[in-house]
Amino acid sequence: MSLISYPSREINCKVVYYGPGLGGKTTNLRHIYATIPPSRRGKLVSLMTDRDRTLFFDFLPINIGNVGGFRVRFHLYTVPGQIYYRSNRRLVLRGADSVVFVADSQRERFEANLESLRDLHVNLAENEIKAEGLPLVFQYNKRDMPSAMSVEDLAQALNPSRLPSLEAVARQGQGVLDTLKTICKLVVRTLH
Amino acid sequence: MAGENWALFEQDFWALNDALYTLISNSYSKSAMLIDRDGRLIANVGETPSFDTESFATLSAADLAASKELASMLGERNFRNQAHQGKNTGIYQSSIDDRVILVVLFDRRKTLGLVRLKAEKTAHELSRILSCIFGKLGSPEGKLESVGVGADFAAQADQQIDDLLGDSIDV
Repeated sequence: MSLISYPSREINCKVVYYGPGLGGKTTNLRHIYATIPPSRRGKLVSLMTDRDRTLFFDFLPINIGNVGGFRVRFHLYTVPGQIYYRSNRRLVLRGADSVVFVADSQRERFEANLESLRDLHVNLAENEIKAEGLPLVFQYNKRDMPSAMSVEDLAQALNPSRLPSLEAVARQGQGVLDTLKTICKLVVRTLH
Repeated sequence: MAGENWALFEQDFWALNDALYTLISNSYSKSAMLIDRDGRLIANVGETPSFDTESFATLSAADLAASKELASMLGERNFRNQAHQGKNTGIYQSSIDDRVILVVLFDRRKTLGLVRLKAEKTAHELSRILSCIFGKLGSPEGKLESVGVGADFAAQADQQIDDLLGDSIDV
């Protein structure tokens, strides 16, 4: 749920990047951090294991600018993708205004995508967040990998409702900002 | 929509600030913050922090959320407050009504006991103010003020998003 502060004229919204482990969620945030001017973003905070895997979350605040007299900010989070961090994912998802599901296009990660999507719905329910109406964008990442499935096959399995989706190669920055733009625009439509 | 957006209006904001000012004055603390349970900074009074307050707020919320999970594993409902003490600075955190977190920063010359005592008193006052805020959001008064972002808000926001992140993309 967004926090609208009239005295400080600020609106803060929460976007959570969800998906299977090693799917590219942290890579998305690192690219955003590297691309957006420092004056428009805060520090990238990462709670990692010593093997560079996300333990709790990554966090990056970005400032969209002044809209109608309000400073609009998005707080971007990633969840740890590994299966055994389920309780951490549930905590990070709490209060989410929107979700970007970062799917790994590689055929060998197909089951991991499905499991992560099921896990997302369980955690949304446990946080009493209604999935229906929640801004959700699918990013089909790793499109450059030799075993990448077709977008149509991925969409049929993961996104039968055909919610907004984008192709990406996050490692090279392709599709990262377009994904962010898409989710941000969906979120602001919920603020009226 | 994920849940109800919540809004903070002028009068409530100053009531919260007053309570925090009283707290740091009575406990001789450096500063006090109010953070929503999802990690967003609501109010901050006292010394201007030299650190990134947004990241601090997020980590504080995560810290308390993790503690709550630990409490649950032990069969406790919650660990309502916790403290960390370093060489120069201490942090006292207290969950209020499971909605917001009160964070007090104090230096090593002040005692944790005093901070805890005063913070607990302030927590009751903050709880009362927060009940008013959430009660108001469900009333016609709250809904009327909530319209304040304006009808063309989304169009203006789209423009800002495109300006920051590149060419236009329709959703």
